[in-house]
Amino acid sequence: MISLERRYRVLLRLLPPSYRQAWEPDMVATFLETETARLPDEQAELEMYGRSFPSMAEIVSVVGLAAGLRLGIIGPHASLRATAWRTAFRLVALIGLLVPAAFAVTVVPATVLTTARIPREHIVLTVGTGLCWMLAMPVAAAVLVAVNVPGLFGVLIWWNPPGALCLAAVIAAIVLPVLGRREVLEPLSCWLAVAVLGPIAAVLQGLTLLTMMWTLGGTAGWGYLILGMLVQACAAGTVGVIAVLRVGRLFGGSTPDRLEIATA
Amino acid sequence: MPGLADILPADILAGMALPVTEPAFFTLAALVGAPRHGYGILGEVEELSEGRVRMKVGTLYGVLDRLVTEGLVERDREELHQGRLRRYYRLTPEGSRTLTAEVARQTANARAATRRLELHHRNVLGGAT
Repeated sequence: MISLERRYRVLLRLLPPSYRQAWEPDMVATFLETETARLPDEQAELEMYGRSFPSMAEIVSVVGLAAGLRLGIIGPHASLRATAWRTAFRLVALIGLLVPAAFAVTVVPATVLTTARIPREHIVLTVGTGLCWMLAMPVAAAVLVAVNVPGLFGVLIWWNPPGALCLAAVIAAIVLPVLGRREVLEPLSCWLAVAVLGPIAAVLQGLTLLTMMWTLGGTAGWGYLILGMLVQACAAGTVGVIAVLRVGRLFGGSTPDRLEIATA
Repeated sequence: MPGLADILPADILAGMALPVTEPAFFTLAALVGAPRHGYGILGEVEELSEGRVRMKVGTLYGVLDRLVTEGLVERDREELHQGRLRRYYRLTPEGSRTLTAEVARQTANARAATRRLELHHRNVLGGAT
């Protein structure tokens, strides 16, 4: 009995400390009661000697609770938080598509204006890339989701790394909720997109800019770089402002009363 | 300090379902009429759901934490039982209202689906004869 209790308490260490402080004694008492009370007295005694580990189902429930609490999926206002994340994520995914499009729209005329003297294939490359960014990504996203060919994605990464990463974010938004429970996967995909893809996409986009500048050379290269940086600064500013306004405060510790929300 | 309600667009808030999951629903239902302790809730939920919902301890305390924080359930008395403290929980008036609203919603859903099924069966039967 003692060892079963001790092992259950060890298991409960997975839970966040504040949660444990509030609920551990109660959980232990209830757990031990479920272990003993459903059996006749003498059999309970016997079972307890034979069994010193919590059942797999109980372990799974505590592990799930710990993971859920730490990820913000379980707990007060979890569904609100998930909705907020979903909104923020869709916004980021949309901007992820719009930024390359805006980039292409502004860079194409600028390149044409400033590169009258550079070889034709460079202009074709720039215009072509711009148009592909605008037109091909939604189509490619649909195709990739439909046929699920990793090779296609590989080609896209080689061809346009930032675009591919934006696309990955979009695909995560479409595919992950379909694979399993929405409320579990959507916050996860949001974390993934915001925390991982965002910075990587920014770095790669910067590298693309530098490569293009180097390829074009001279005034054209500088024009490309400056314009590209301006567009990206605007985009990053927009994303930042929206993120601060909409998402930032969700994790500031203020948890509103659900009543307020329901009546708001 | 602005809350979620200020940040989320109104249309999203309006479209959100009441977050009453099945374990939360049965936990609220188990507390109707009498305060119960953790183990008591588990037993009552199993009985209420006719053995269909068997909550684990980890699940129950995830649900209880949420319900207490949201003010739907509150702590009642504490009792000593075989050397251990038993903490009782009871439904708050707000919890009672939430459960009533959820029951009304589920009843309306069930009624709508039943009507559809009846109509369908009648049409299928009518077509066959």
